[in-house]
Amino acid sequence: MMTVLIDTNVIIGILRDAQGYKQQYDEIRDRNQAGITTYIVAELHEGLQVITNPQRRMMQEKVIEMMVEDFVRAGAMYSLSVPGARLFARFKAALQDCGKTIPIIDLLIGTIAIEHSFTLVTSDRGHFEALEQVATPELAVVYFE
Amino acid sequence: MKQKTISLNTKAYTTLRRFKQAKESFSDLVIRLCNEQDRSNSEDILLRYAGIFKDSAGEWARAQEQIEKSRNAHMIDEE
Repeated sequence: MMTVLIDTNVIIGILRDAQGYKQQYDEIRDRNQAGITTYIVAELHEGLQVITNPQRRMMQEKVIEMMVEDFVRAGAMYSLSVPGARLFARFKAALQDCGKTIPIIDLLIGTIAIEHSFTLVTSDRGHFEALEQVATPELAVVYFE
Repeated sequence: MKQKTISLNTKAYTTLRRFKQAKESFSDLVIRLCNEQDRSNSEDILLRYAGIFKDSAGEWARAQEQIEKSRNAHMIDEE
């Protein structure tokens, strides 16, 4: 079974039942196990700040923590390793050489996917396509629409 | 046991029949496939939580926009 690294936009899409997200996820999940990065955990907590009702925010924080704990228990929580940090610097230089700029978090997530030979699942086509063009080894990506 | 009648088109029937085991009724087949699907769903971490923020979908759409803005505010430097 392969691992697919899920980006924040896809996680949120599935949690909030955005149109088409679960269906697209169903198409890839049979032969794959989902994993996330610690950066996604940070962004989910950032997202919680938008929830105005304190009680609902507290409940949803608990749900996020349960989900995070499930990923940790399954050994499917990833962050940048030392070899990954070297790759990060190499990809950053390659992007700069081509005059391309992408968010730091996108480069971190993309680097983790490449380091572990995972397929990244995201709806952010623009920035990850730039990384796809310069990265060696290649970045495998599934784009959700 | 009480019976309910459902209609399948030919394609659905032939697809379903491919999974039918010897001596298995179509009712047992449907129950087995649904149970397998339930088990598969519960093993997938993300699917355990699918739709759990449906009631706050609008707020999480705004949260997603906020996160995107935040990402875009911290780009790698251009050479």
